[in-house]
Amino acid sequence: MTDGGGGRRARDNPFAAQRIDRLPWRPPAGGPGGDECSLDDLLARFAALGHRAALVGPKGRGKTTLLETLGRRLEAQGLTVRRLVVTPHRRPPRAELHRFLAAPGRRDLLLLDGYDHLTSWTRHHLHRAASRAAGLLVAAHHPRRLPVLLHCTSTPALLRELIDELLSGREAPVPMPSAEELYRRHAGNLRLALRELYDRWAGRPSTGGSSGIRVEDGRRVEVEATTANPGSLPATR
Amino acid sequence: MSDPVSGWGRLEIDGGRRVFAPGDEVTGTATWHLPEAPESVEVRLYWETRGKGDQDVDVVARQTAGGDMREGSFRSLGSDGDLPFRFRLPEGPYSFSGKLISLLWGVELVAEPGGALGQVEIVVSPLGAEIRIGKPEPPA
Repeated sequence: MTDGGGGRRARDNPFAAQRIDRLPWRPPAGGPGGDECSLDDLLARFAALGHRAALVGPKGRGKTTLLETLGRRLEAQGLTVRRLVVTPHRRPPRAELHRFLAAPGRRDLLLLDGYDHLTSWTRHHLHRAASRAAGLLVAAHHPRRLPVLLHCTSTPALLRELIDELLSGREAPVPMPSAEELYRRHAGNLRLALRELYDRWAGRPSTGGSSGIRVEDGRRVEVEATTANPGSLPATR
Repeated sequence: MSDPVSGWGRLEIDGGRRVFAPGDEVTGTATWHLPEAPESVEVRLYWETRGKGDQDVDVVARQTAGGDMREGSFRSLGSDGDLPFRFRLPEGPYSFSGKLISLLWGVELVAEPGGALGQVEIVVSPLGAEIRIGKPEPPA
């Protein structure tokens, strides 16, 4: 199916996922502890915690971005970083899990995104492996057994900063809601707010966080989300 | 993509061509200038997606110069050099764009160490242009 008409292409959308993923982490301006969480501060604090800690916070607060940023900095310091991502929709294959946990050495750092989604069995083996490794840094909604390196937060000012950087001076083709309105509507979830802007730019009905599909007990269940319950991300393809 | 300090790389496709049909050959030359001789350089033919969802990337073909001594294919490279490349395009996927997702084809030059040095986007389509998906926008 082709059309020769105009229309805003996905490749040109300033809020495309790839552009968002390349945004560098920054502490939320005006947020709690914002003056005390430079990357150097966090690395020093991580060392003081014995290189075992968790980044915690609700969805869309930059935990994954910060986790990756710290991972790269620790690689630059000479550590070998092993990475694993676990989501409610993606359990890593057995082989991938085995590679992540197998016989870490004193120069190996374990970097895990999705600590909450591990089974108790896997969590037990993770901590066993971490006891032999250089360290363990996780992103989670709740810290459980690990000390908290940082409570990741967001602010409307941070969202405005991210939007300005993504737009890079481009004028939006349609009226866009303010950062404050987006922030309120998505309860501080920056990723959902930026996904709404993707849809608005593309001229699509916004599905940012207002509805979605959630997997419960292996079944796909339609979820109507509110600002208090942004819900899972909608299927995109 | 160039950096006077860390070096530069350039990809030139023969004839300056940018639009190809599935099954066509893409030929050209990759050139690099680096502060030190790399261990290897590689020209890659790839496609990638961009849009609302996670990115997919597929390196369809590669051409490598230099290499790993352990693999017995080592050929020393200079800090300046060039590598002719030739790729046969597959039958798909086609370059396309909609509102949710775009698929782009390209050729890139990567050095080890050094990373990505340059890339050129090409269009792969039986229609001579990127395929547009979706309803046309109403006139302003």
